[in-house]
Amino acid sequence: MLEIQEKLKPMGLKVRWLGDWEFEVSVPRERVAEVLSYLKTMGFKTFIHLACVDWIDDQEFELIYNLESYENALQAIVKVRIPRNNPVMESMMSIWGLCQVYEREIHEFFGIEFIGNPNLKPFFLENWLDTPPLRKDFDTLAYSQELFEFKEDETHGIEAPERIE
Amino acid sequence: MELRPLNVSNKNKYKTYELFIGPNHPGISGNFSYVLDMEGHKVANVTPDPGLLHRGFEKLMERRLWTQNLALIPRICVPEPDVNEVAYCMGVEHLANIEVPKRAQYIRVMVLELARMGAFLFAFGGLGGSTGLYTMPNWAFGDRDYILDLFEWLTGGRVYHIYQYPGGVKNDIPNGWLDKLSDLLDYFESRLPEYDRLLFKNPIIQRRAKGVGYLPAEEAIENGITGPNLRASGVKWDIRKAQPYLVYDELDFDIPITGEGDAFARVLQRRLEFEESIKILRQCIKQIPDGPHRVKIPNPFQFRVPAGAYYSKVESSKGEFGYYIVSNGDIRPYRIYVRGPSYSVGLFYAKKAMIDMRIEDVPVWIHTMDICPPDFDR
Repeated sequence: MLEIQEKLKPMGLKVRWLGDWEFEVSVPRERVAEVLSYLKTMGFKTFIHLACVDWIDDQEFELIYNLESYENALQAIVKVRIPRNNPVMESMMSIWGLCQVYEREIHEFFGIEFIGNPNLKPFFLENWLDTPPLRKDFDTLAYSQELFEFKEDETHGIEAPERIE
Repeated sequence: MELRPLNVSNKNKYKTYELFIGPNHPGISGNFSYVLDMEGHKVANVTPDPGLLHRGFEKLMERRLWTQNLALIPRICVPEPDVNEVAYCMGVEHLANIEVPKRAQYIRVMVLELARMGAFLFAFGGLGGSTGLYTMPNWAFGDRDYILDLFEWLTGGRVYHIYQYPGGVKNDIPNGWLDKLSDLLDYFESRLPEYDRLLFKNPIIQRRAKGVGYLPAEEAIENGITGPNLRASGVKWDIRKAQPYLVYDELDFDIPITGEGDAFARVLQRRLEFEESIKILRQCIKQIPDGPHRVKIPNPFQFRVPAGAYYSKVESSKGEFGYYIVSNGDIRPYRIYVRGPSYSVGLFYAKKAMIDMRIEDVPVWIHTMDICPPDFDR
């Protein structure tokens, strides 16, 4: 554990331990590619996932790159925050080709643009024209009320059975 | 007339046509589709087309209470739902600093191992079904039902159990359940030689599965392939051993490695791990301590998980199943990301692996990779 901490020091990265095998580092947007490729040379060869969190109060998106090292039995979580009004990120496809599908999913659900990713076409959804659905300002209730018809009466057309005494 | 060698590409000989392998096709493993560009009998290009099963779970979870989500998440992986519940509960407990009693941890291990065995039986049946050996699905699904019977007795549900709870499990083990489990393990041990004779030593299955979809170790690591598929390529990595959770460090079991990296190695890997699961369960029956099965958590309407983020993971029958849980200290989760083990292999690696594969090998590849569409199309 300390070994990794020492190795990440020259990069100017602060390691925060989340659990016994898991640590996170926060990096600025322009250093993500550098940090990820450095971690890859250090044994974090498996790309586990790319997730996104919409911090709407801070007006920021947070991208979470999760890497795993089989040699050191460690999990590295690299976090980067990007502004919400300019959601553009560099594609990490040159480091892991696998990022292609994850970035495509994030693009669809959060509307983040990945520069360098050739295929950001719709993936899971069909004919989606609304706000990207996993953003916090997407109102699911308003969307379903607009899309589906609701019956006026509260019983939804089902008559209550007679009460048996 | 000049004879054409079989393995030469059929380019320019046949016209390319599009073949849709979708939910109505017997070769696919769920509600998911591949669009294959075919040249004769060979695959020239693959386009995975998910979305048929998309239910928006990640969004739904943000609107529900921490404990309400437990009814939702088992649906993310149908053949093996318990990994979801355990991974989610482990994450919540880590963030909320809840210590789970030993007995509950043993019960969780037993539930996980039983679910793993059930999922492996599904995989054996899948290989049999995709190669035309229909006895195998009948046997395997029939035997899986005995596991479901035990689950029904323990939890009240056959497929979805909704049995885990932050702080432990909902109910204690009923009287006589452990004896019945022991009998079931005896039965499975007596069945395994028959499975071997029917499936694993079957020369036709061996000819059909050996050498199909070869996956070298470096490529598996590079493409995020985990679990039995990774171990079948010769990488000794199992979360249960390397980063033990629950009580796996108190149990004695091996990680078998096949190492050939082809479809047959992948299914044989599952067969070997099946035996290890029996071994783990036998130890659990012996070692399970007395004590409470759950610690009390606050009223669910007041249950606030302290702000923070944590990635909790479980070794499932298909690979690493992880939950990235973000809390902002509210009664509802702020964001939950589900990492399904089939994501990388089903949506990305398939595009590389299936190229130049013959059409009859495609279902064999899908079923030996044990691709489970609900876990990426969540």
